[in-house]
Amino acid sequence: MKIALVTSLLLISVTLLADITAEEVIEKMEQRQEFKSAFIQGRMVINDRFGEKISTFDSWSLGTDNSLIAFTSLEEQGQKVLRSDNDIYIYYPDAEELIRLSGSALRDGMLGSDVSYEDMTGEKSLLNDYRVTAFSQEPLGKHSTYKIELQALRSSVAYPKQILWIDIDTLNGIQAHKFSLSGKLIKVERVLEMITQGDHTFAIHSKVEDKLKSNSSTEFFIDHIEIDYPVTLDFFSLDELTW
Amino acid sequence: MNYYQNKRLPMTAATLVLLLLSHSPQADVTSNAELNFSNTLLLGSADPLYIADAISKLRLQSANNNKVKATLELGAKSSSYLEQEVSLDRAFIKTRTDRYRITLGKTRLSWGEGSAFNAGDVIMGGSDLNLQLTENDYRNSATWLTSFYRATGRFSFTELVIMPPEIQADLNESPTLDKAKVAARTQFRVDRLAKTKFELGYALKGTHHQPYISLQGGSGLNWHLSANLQADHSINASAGVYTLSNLGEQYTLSFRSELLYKSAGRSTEIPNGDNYRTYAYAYVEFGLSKGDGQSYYNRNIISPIDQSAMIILGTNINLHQGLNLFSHVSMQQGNSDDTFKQNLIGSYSLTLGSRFVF
Repeated sequence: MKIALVTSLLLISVTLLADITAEEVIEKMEQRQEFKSAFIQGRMVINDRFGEKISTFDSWSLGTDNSLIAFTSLEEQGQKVLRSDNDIYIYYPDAEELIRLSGSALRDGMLGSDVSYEDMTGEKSLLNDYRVTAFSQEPLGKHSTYKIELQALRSSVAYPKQILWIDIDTLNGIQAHKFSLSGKLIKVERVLEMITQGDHTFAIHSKVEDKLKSNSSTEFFIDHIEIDYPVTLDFFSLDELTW
Repeated sequence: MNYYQNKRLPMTAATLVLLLLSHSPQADVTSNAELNFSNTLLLGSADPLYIADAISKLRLQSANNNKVKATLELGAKSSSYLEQEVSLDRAFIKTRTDRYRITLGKTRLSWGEGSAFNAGDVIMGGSDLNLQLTENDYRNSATWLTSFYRATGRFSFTELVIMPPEIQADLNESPTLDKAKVAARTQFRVDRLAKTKFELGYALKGTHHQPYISLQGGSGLNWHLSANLQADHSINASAGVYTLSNLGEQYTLSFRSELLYKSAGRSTEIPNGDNYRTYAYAYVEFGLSKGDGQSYYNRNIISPIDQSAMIILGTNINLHQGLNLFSHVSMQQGNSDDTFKQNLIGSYSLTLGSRFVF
């Protein structure tokens, strides 16, 4: 009887999974998070063994390739980060210094957080960098989720392996585990609160934990967001960066 | 200009900027202060010296105005050994239209490329050893200037700068127009050449012409190359590389190396020469940072001709919001007539301190 029940559940599960592929789930999740342009005011709360540090920022973005972040907190006031394609420009107002980074420097933790410049300034679709290696369903707290395992297509990708948990009903990403090449869990990302505006869904409170450091996490809060913000490509320039 | 004039100038400027900002209905002001305390032990040939320093900065900035910016920064330095100093470190106003920007006042511009050595910086200078290697910004001085800037593309612009003569009044010199400096540059990126950045410029002071070129690029390894022509037709050139890589899962290792070459210098050492000059310096830096706000560094300047060097080992810990604890050890290795000398007071030093921004 027990075997029959398990078999039935497995069959139902397989039938449900057959309706949609893992790639389609990822595409739909990304579509809900995509917008042409946006303006965001937010906070980054870094917790480490010494305590809590808060950085506030304004952020403008256009598509997935262009973003500008201006830090507004006292310590970093006026520091800006411009991402254009695969280049990152960092502006330090005190020294009037402009530094351009490329390659592996994009993976450096920004302001001592668990979030890299690459994480913070957006990236292209996951399917450009990863292939699906496993697809199943799994309950996660109160959510029924698709669990998708991804393997990096090339070594230049920041995390060689990722596991995603995506809500079946809303197709919102709920949790992600990111692994090193050796298979060690490096980061756990959790979405703690979401809002929906029109066809778009955003995480307004999320948490990134560095599993290699004890008591280390970075929380993101979005305090204000404007979708389809009127901004053109010309805005993402050295002129705006050094202003 | 005497001490009291020095002291009065920042106060007058502060009052003026505050009055200007307070009369503008749209301008808000943000402020922050930085306190930096350090205890330094100086060792060398004589008895050890112990000095305590306090450096403070007060910064006022206009906010919430997308067309006009103003910054006023006052600095004060006091120590247990030297007389206190008050300085006006920054005082400038910037305004912009669609593609044009004008900057007036005392500020800093960063021309060319390079952290320790930058032969492309014909404005502030980057071919000397006046470096603050234990600070975040190795070169942070400001100067009086008027700048006209025009954006010509997303990653290109031209800029014209006029600087009044910088002279010392107590030497009875007059700031005549012929001592003023005028400089211009254009910067652009060539996407077909791996997005290499080109910067071409020219500075004129009296009859001294100083053209320069600066290149920067990177794909994995970030590099830069700059050169300028001096008044005596000698060449200063600098080059450098910078890379960042993960070391294990918790650490980030940075490596920076820069070279400065001066064709006017001597290429051989002169024993016991009073004015010995080297023609090349090498700067090597290793940095190791841990994600929880701890960083460690080793910064070295090497003079290969006289085989002398300055070696600095330091650490910085971001303990709480705005609070950093730092320490560094500085050592100079070389003979008494070398670029770096080990037998003078201060040739070896140990510093412990803290910095708080609020």
